Amino acid sequence: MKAYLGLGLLLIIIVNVFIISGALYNRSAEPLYTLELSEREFNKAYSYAVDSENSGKTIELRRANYQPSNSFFGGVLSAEQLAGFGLSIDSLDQKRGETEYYSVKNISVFVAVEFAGDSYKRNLEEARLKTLEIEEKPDSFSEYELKSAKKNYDDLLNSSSRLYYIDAHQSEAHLAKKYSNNTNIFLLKGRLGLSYNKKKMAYIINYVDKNVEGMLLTNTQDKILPADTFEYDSSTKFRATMHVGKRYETWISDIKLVNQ
Amino acid sequence: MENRKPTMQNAQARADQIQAFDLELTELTSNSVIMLSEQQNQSIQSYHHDVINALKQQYNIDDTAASKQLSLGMKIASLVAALALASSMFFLFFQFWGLFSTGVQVFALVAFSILSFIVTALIAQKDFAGYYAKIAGLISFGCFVLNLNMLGQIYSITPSPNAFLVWSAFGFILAYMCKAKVLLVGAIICFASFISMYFGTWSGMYFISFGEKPENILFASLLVFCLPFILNAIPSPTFTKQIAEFSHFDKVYRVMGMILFFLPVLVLSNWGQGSHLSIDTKIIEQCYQVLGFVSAGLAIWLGVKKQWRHVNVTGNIFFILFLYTKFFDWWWDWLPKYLFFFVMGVVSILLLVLFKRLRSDHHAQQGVKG
Repeated sequence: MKAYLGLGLLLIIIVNVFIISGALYNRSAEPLYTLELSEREFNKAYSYAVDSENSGKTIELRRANYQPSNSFFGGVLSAEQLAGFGLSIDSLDQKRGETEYYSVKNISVFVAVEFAGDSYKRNLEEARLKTLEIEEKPDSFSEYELKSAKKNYDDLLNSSSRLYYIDAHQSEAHLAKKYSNNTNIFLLKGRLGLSYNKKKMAYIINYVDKNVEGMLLTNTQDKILPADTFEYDSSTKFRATMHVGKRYETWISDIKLVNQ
Repeated sequence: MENRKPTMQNAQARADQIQAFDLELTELTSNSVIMLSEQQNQSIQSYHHDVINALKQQYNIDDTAASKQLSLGMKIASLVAALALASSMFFLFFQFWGLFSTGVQVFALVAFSILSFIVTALIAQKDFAGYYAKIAGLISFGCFVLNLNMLGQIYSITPSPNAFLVWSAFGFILAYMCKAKVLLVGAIICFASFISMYFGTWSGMYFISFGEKPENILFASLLVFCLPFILNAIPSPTFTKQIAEFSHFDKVYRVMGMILFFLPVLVLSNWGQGSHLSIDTKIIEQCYQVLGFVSAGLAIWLGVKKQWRHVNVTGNIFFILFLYTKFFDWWWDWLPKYLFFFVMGVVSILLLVLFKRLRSDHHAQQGVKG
């Protein structure tokens, strides 16, 4: 019995020390990236089993809704891009595309995330031009189309997220070097799902996501935000300072409400 | 029998043996096969009475059929209690953790893990029957799972398959400490998940998606099935002696190993696209169908040969599952439903005849040996 007791206690202590020291290492010294984000870039992370009884508040990064035209989603992947994910067309099997669209594999990658950068500006400009086009040719478009276009533009301008997943690669060094001059681009550990599209006879990305689901707010940070902050009709506006540490794990150091 | 290790299982087996002896002696006496003197009878009964009393006091064994039924009820109640209390602990933490600072949260998580484990060890030392030890063990396991999971949330730590290795190690320690099969099942599932996740990542997958390629689980299943052989083969007399105390755990390893093997094979025999192999999906499915039938047949054979009823039963269940899935695949759309079920009924009767024949042959062989 003593042997089991000793072994169990040793395991609990070693594992906790290992995890906590790893987390502290991630937050030690200068973070890799520091960004000031707004309520637009965050969602409340829901945990369906316990949400109504969960006293802790966890928030997660909210990425922008993509348009296929301005993201690396949906497009045909080149051999070079596939090589960036550690894959080659030869190693992937095209014969088994019995259905038009099927998932090939999910792989671990580093994801480059752009905040309020070119992707956002491009998206905003496209929405503005679309609204103008509809307003100039009212006979060619329905009332509903005009309303949708205006809402889309308004959302992009005021409420939707400005975080865009713009690139992915297996090597963090490759992405860090590629975007070293862009202060609004940061890297996260993530994963992407690769699919084979039989119609296009090509490989495409069908999803990209970050690995860490959320960031738990401390009890002091939680108290700053009103209870309805992440409700659908909430008008709470805030700024949060987010850091990305040495292990590409994120945390919030400061939250401030914004005077409206 | 007297040389058996003094464990709960051996004590129960001894009591069952005495019960069976008493019944058989009554039969023999009533059929005038044997006539014991009053003194011999009393001497046997008094000896058995003392043995049963000693076993009852030391191991809380069941000495009657009614007592066995009640014990089964207690086992079920303790399992439900263990699961409910572990869940309660989980929700209790969620209810209040947001009110505390990060330091207090971390301290509470580590303290809960350590305290619940120490309490489990103390209970396991006193509770030979293991009902309360199982409850405490499962709560302790829940606390440790919560501990790592919550630390991950508090510090936004990147999820890793290594957590499953640590949980499995802790599960094994608790299972052997409390002699609880339910904890062993939990530990095996965590261990198999860990190995399978690593197989998934080696093939370039994100670890949580390991289930999308069921072949990732096959190696883990074989390892789990062979674990009793591996543990028994370790050349250390002290270790062998300790392992012998837990010989009843071998069944759990084998059944879990077989379930973990047959389920992926069953899936792949119907869904070749889930394979890592880059060949025609039809060929993959056919290969796995053959593998399923052959390995289920081998399991039945091994079960009969080694007298492992659990292996035999699991092999039979999966053999029938493979057979009926195939029938469904071939004939469900093609045959009228009455004919489909008629064919299934006829095949089941044929299987019955086959098993009866095998059973008779087995009995005949036993007779020759006897």
